[in-house]
Amino acid sequence: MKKNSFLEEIRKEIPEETKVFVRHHTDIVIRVNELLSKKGWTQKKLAENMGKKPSEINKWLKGEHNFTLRSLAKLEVELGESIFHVVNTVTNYSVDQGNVQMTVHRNFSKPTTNGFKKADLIVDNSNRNQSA
Amino acid sequence: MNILALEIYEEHDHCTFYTVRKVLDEDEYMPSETERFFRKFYADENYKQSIQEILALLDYIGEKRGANIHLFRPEGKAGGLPKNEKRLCQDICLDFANFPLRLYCLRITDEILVLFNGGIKDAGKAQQSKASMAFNEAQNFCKKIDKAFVEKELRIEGNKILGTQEIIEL
Repeated sequence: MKKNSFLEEIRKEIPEETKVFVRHHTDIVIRVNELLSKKGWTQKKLAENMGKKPSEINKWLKGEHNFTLRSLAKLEVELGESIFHVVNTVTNYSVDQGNVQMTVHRNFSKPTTNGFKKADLIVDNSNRNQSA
Repeated sequence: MNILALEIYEEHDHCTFYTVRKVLDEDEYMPSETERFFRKFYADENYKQSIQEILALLDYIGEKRGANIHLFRPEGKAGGLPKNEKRLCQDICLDFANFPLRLYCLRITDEILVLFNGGIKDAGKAQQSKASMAFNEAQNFCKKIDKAFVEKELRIEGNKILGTQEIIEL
């Protein structure tokens, strides 16, 4: 496939974060517009539903405005479908770098006849030598 | 007479990028309009990042999304005409706040995009900005290409533009 040699030179210098940003932004713009088409809504209708000016919604969807997480949340609620998906996995931590020590303050504020008294400190080494 | 050549700029899996090149003389090679845009602004440190962002978007269009209609803004007076009647000059829609550059183009289908020149959009209207010359030329290119389609000098086949001749006379 034909590629332009000068563009190839530029490509070598594009930061990865720029590529990721552009991908996410493009996906969101297309997704929001496709959801609007699916519902048969115009931007004006969306603006009315959200209590905003059509010009403001147009800026969201067509330019001059960066999406915020809050604006995306509002759009998602209004359009009734997910706009983007964040990977939600559980991270397993391994405890393999020695002992784990936990300090528990028991009855720290237990009142006494002389006022408040600091209780004994309990050192709990029950997690000692645990590993995942 | 000015001669305008329509030629492939880059090929990707999901979109072919075309560009236009002015043919001045057989002995004098004029870079394509899109090549001039990228070379001019990438040499300017103020716009280097913007050029990288435009190219990142073009790559994403080419490799993944195609020239999705939602990624383009209509430009110029022709913008009010029904989409099916005229092919409209557009610019690549970068939804980044205060994006300083415009690259004008003509989206033919999801698989075919014709890129022109561009410039600095430093005013509300392109005609009043530093991009005005590129904007006006892009409008002219669009009319010529559209006319060539209407007169069947050009036709679409898959992700390619085929024609009875590759040179469109301005």
